[in-house]
Amino acid sequence: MVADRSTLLDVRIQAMRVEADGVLSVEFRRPDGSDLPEWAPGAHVTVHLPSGRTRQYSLNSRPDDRSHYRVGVLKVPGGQGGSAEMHELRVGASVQISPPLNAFPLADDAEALLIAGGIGITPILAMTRALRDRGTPFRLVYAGREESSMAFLDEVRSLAPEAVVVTEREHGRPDLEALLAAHPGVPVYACGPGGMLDALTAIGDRLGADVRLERFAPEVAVAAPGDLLAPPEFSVRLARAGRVVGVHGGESILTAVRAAGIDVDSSCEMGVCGTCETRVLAGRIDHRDLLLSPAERERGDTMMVCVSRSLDGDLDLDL
Amino acid sequence: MTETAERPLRALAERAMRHSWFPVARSIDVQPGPVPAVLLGTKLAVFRDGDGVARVVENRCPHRGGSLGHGRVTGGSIACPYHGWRFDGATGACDYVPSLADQSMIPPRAGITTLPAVERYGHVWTVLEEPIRDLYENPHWQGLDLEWLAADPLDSSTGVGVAIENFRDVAHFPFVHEVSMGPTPEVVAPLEVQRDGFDVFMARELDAGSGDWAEQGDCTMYYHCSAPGFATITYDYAQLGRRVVAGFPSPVAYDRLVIFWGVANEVGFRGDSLEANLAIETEVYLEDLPIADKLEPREIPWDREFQEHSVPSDVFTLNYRRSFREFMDAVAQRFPEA
Repeated sequence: MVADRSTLLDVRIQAMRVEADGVLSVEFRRPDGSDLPEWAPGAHVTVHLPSGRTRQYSLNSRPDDRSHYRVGVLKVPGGQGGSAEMHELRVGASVQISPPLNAFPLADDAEALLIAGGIGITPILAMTRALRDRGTPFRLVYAGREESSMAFLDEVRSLAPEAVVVTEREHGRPDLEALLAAHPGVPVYACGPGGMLDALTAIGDRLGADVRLERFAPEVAVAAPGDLLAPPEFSVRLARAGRVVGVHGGESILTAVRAAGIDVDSSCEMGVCGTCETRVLAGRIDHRDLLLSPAERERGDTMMVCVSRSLDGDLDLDL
Repeated sequence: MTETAERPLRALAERAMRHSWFPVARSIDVQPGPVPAVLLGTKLAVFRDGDGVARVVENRCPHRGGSLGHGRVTGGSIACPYHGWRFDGATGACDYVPSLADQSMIPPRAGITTLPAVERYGHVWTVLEEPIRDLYENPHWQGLDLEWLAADPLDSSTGVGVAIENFRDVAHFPFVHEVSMGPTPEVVAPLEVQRDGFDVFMARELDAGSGDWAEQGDCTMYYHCSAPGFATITYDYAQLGRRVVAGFPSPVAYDRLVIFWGVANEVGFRGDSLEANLAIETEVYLEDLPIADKLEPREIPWDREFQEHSVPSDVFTLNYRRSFREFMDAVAQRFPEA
């Protein structure tokens, strides 16, 4: 997502807590303590990390207490570094977050079945609290590898004493098919590992169940239509072409450079393939691709012009 | 020649691989051997000397060109099958010419080139020229006691890069491995890939499907590959311990391979035996070969001589290509062309 920087919220890390092996909860608060925007269970925010990486996290605090947001962060081994970077932040650190977005809304159902796998508990926890407060009958199944790796277990048990906690070590995997079959006509809200969600989708199709999922999406940048009449966000100086091209808020460097009549090879145009890699002669890069390693990002001499942008000021490119 | 002149990166890739380690025989096939091998067009003989040390030497007997790889091992030496000349495996010097009554008459400069030989992961490895990197290590295996079983080597008409990419690609499972893995999802969940120099890492949860391949249950799969020619998957089962499948494609020529590969179990692994795991992985690999053998081009199009398009499920492949490029650049920098 191309960030419209003006809409980002400046927040400070108010508290961090170890919730389970590899899982931290992180609380964000505005520096002046004023209320954060409204949100509803299922919502997430995009955290903009100091390195320029962005990561999305579901909110799991109380929507009626807008003094802070809380998210749960699993450190992903072998990950791209976003979760590791979150884990290295300290209380007091300033970051920017997007306003909450909700791609996983909780409807006003008569009854609900909630299924969480691992760190997928984060949106489900907020839903659990909401259903309990509404007095809606629900059933919660929370599956994980072992209790020590399962975040927010105490909160889950106090909110929903009848919640079923399934650990792979003791019980193996939950029988999702039996679970859905036992709740015909009840909408299912699920968040967890891709494999679990794939299985639920297949079972839901088979049984005709209404399965609503939240997947942890890849960090893929997509250009939004921008206002080309506004002044450019920054400019790129093209050393070989001897041109200066303005790049507007909603367009990529690639689009802007092509519109100026200079062709650059590209293929995926989402920061994956590396075809549009361009040497950077000067300027600070806001890397948003999925390919460069941390060391390459730090060197700051190359960028994927389909998604990456300027961190501040103009860029000099070898084009 | 024009082909490499017009394709500088392809030429560099081949030159760079001469500075990296590749297996040339299975350990079990040099008891004591010898066996012939070819690495990037160089003919070699591999054997084990009387002290149990693996040796890799030039294959050609400098007398009349006999193939030493088809000869026999005598103590620390390898004897040519044609006239019985013997060469010391450590120094390459000719130490016996049967037709000579007086062994002091051996032509003083008669000798063969010896290459470094290291035994690791159930195979004998060598390198043609001064190595740019150490023999591959996998950080996931630190402190892990692995017992190896080398598979039957497979021939493939592809290059090293294509073989490594196939070994750890996940998007092809539902199309190529429906029999061995059962139905698997077509949509590839986001890959969390980490690259550090020549090494690329990825962790993925295996949600056991219905095929033989997954019958030991769910696990975390730690993918690791290292440029140019090392690809491994370490399966970590919560209940059973860890097991490994590893591929080490070895280039006979730039775009023709012997794929050496094998499986390993952690000592004390509570799942299937090495033999059973090898049988399962063989079933999977034999599904890949007919597809891989028909790919065009037969090696990564380094010079963009073919256009390819990529999507997020290719992120591991693309990172491997970058690590391979980094490897090529390191060779170009340290061993500039004469």
